[in-house]
Amino acid sequence: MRAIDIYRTWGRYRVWALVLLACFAFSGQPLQAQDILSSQLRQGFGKNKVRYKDFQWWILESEHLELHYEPEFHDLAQRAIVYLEDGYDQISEILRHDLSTRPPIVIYQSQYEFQQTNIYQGFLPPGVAGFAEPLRYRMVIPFDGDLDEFRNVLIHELGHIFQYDILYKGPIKRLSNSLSAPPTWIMEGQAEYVTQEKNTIDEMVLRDAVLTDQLIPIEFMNLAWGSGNVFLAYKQSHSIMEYIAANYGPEKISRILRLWDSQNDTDKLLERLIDLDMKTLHERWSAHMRKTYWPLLQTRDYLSELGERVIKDDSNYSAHLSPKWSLSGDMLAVLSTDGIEQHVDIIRLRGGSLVERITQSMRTSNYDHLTFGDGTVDWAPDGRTIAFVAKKGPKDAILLWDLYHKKLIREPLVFDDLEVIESLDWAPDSQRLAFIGTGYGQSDLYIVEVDSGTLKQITGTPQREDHPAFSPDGTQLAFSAKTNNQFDIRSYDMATGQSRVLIDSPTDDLWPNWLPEGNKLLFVSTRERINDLFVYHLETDQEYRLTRTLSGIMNPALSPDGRQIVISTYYNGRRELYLMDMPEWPQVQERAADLAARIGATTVPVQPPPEAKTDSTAQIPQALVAVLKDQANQTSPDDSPIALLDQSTPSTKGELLYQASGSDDRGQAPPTSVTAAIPPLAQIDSEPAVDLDLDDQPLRRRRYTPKLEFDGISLQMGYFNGFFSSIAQLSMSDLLGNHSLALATDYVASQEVDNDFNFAISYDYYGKRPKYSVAMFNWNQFYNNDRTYLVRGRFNRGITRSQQRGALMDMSYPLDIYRRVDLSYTYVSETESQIWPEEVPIGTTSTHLFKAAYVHDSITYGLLGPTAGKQYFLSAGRTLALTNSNRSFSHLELDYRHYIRLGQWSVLGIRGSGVASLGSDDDVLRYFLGGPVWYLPLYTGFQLNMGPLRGYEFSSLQGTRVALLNTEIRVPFIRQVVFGWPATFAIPAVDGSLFLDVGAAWNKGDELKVWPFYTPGVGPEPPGEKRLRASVGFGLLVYFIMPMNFEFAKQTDLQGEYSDYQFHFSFGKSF
Amino acid sequence: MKNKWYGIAIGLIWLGTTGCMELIRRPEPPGANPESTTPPTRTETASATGNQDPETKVQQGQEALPPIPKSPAAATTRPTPQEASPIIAPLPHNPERADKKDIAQINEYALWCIQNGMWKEAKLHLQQALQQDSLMASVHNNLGIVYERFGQDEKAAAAYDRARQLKPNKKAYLTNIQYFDRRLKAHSDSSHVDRENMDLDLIEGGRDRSRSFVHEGD
Repeated sequence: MRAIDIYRTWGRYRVWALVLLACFAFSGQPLQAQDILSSQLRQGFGKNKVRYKDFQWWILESEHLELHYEPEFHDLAQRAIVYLEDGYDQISEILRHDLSTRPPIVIYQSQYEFQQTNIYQGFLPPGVAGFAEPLRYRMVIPFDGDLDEFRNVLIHELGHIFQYDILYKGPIKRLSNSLSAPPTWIMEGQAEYVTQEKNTIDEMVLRDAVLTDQLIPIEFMNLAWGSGNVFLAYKQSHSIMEYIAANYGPEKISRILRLWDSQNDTDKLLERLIDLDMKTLHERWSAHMRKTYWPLLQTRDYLSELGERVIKDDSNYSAHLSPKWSLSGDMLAVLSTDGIEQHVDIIRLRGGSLVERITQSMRTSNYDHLTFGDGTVDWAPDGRTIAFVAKKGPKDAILLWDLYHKKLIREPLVFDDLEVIESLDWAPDSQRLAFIGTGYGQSDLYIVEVDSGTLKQITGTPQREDHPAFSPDGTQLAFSAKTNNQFDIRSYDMATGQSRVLIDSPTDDLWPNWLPEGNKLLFVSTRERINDLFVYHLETDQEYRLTRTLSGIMNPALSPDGRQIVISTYYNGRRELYLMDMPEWPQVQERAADLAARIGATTVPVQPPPEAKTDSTAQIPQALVAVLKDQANQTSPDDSPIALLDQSTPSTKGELLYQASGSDDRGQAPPTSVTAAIPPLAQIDSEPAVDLDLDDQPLRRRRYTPKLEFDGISLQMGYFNGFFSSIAQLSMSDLLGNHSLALATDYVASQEVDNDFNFAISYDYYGKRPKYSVAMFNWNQFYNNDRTYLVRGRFNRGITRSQQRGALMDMSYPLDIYRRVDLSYTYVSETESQIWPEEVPIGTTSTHLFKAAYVHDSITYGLLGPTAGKQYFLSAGRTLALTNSNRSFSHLELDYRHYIRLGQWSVLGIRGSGVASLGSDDDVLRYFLGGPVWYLPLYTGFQLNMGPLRGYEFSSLQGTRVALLNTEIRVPFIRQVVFGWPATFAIPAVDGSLFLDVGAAWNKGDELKVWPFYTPGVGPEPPGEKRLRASVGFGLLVYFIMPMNFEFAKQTDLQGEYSDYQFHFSFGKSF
Repeated sequence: MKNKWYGIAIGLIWLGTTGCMELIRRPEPPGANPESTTPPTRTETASATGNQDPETKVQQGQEALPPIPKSPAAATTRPTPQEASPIIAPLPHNPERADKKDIAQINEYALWCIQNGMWKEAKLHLQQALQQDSLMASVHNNLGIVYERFGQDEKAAAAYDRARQLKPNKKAYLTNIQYFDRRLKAHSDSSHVDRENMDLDLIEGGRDRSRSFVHEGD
């Protein structure tokens, strides 16, 4: 991710790079035109953020807010305004603050459109539910299919805007100066607190941490956002805020940020706020939590008492979800992650070992990623086909895997208006699939005929439906449907098209499973705020409790013969699958009676959690998925000032629900292989629509027009080597981030030099699929030349000015997330002249350079380097020599890297690269070899160091042609060490490496001898001859704030001759 | 892309090879099949006479299969197939058989399941294969082994017999029947049969050649 961010932001901040170049102006080594050419020729890798859609934006203005939305989902925008205005009042009352300005809020109709936003230039992975940023108070939120969840995320992020306003007194609009903010746990806990929502999944995670003694000490909480259990950290933060409010008064919540301004120290802040330090607060709060949850042990069961773990793997990084049974029950299809990759696996029921990885042979470049959520895989009842979901381009597709032929069959099923597909369920005939589709600002239940692709929309309410389940005879389709802010279980009659409520308890009823006899439903209900299994008898209208668990149950899957259940739970800090027996019918009744008696017999009443404010839902398993992935990937901490929120929790407070029109004509026209047929929607007897009349706060609607505003401005002044320099940087962009303008100026003066004005300006456009970038610059640099003059009785060195003027034009077209074509044109004119003590022109050269590159990158990164995948590019550049003063050369470069996983964390990296500059002016570009990949700290000057060639001095070899081969094995040494002294900090990863490098740099006319290799210690080769150089060594790669590499290498000829060890220290991820 | 070219090259070689083989192939004289070491039965005779195996004939709707001959051993030790298994019904006239390649794939999948120790899964898929096409000898044979594994000897006997009936000159089927009969005889007086440890598994251990799974086309 970090590398990708660098690539993505390079275009926008190109101008700052030019400023960086300017900083070398006084070093005595002049910046040459080839440095600019080098920076243009240096091809980057990186995945692409593809802008699939041409968005049309409108703005709704309310009393306190400004909402940006697409007109096609105006209803959703109106709801968002209602939620936000209500939320505004709520937050304003809690934090006792009114915003100083009207924050711009941008909503997207789905997660995948949200991922195309340009407000944040980096990748937004699945699981990020929204963000707010302090520069301009922008909030960006996708609709994920559930209005309550949507509302919660809106309010959570609005809470952050309030926090920024209290802390910074307005949008900060500055690029430099670090932002002083309270610890993340305070910021996120407060935002969760003002959202005033907690659901049974939140409690499941918190309860598990209490019962398994895994609460994170408050002084270490912040580390969780870098490399820990983020989901637990969110929930703990929320709980701590609730504890403070309940025990010390709710007004303390509003005081936190105000006190921070004067304290800037968490311990002092807490002492002044509640007269406790962090340690004491943790002791009191954790005691409170234990008193809350430990009594449950008397009346509830561990799942290990009811069944057995399916998968015995204890790795913190792996997880298996969404179990689906095979025909016989011998196997399960599951979604799995090992912390690096996600797959659809077939595992044995007994022992949980992997039988087959069906996504192993799928080419990653064909799909953006596997859609990794509960219910995105299902095994057909005929045992032959496994359906699963993967994102391809702008939307999800249903893929069908034929187990007999071991390949994907049919074209992927994609649907025009449905972007996100979840909760697959096969009909008994194995010909139809029910699923939940989200797009156009709402999610609904659909059935697709897999042979013809004919799509049938079943529901049309703005509220969430989920967990479809066909009855054994295929005549009924049970599903969870949200009405009155809670999930009930309904049944849709396939013949009549009517639906009716089957289970309507005061809590959420979820994940219905039909028993084989067809007259009973197994389901999960959140009675007593813990998810447990129940059985409902349709004929007698009786329901029976099957479990009273401590951890809670998600996503139960009943075996085809109805005798076993595989369930998902959260236990010991990780998600687990358990297998338990489904009792026969008489035993179901007996067990229900036993469980009821257990409650009656106990003398210690179970205390419900005191903070429980609402009966809420349990539906966001994706949140756990996101967290598990986050934990596993150990992505580097995001140091941008943007607050990211993992999938948040559904709400009970959403008040809006109406019956969708049966004549909905959103147009389900499918692509080539899919035909659409949308019959009238199911008649769901939901409550009457809530009036959305906003007359009391009239909304003004207008079209969005891009307007450049300041992102930030900074001024720096300096004096170096007799020169005074004043650099101003300015960055502007429109609100949606599609247009970006950056300007840098440098006012240079000295005793000898007249005032000189330098500037560089760049404009980037991201609003369409191709990205465009233009830059112009006029930059003068001054350096002492080698001549000496007698001036006013003193000997002085002359001063030379190097003036570079030019323009850069880039266009990048992403073919998909992994592949792109880059085109660029660069013009640089360089004029050198001596300016003091007398003006003497030296010469002018100019370059017209055209470059094209094809880039492929499907790498996944860990903290210390790539972990899997491959990347390569082919880049070709050619100058156009129009006059004699024009440079003439060609540039060719190929770089291929392949990373093969050797176990969980070990990686074998192989890289081959070659670069050559050809033509009459080929020596303009000189490539360097030697040392590590990244240049060393304080190293001045841009160089085309093609490294690593460890064992040799940094950039000690140079030539117009370079060939390089690297192999490296990286093995994990340490994962996650937390230190408590001298401050609280963590080292999340330490790896060891063994490597072999082979490379050479030579010039035109040199003879490259491939064998034998250069022998260490014999001195340079004879003129006109170059030999391949090799080195072997080992290294320690440490992630602390950023990757740091400590490497020891020996030169070798691979025939027994070795030099002494050469030590290298460098920053940055390994190649 | 590279794989694609390899695939095309292999495909061309295969096409060329099989095409040439067709050109030089001659009708095989009766008994020329080295597998046919046992004396030909009535079915084998008919097959040889017609120079066409019975499965092919049925597929083309030319001729119904003759009655199932019982081996002498089976007559004394095994239950009557017709009574034992509902699968073993009189062979239907089945001109519209399922795609043979598809059934062969099911058979392969079932063998893969067995290889991975999932006999129950294999059984259900083999049964499904027979519902689509009841004339695949290899499927009957493999299902016979699976039945035997589950202790369903009557169904196993019927399946073995049907396999032999459909491909009388296939040595593996005859061998399976012989070993099956021998086992039944050996265990007829025994009160305990350790089915879990029966040496049926050629694929896992290869120690005991008493039962032969058959891939379609072998």
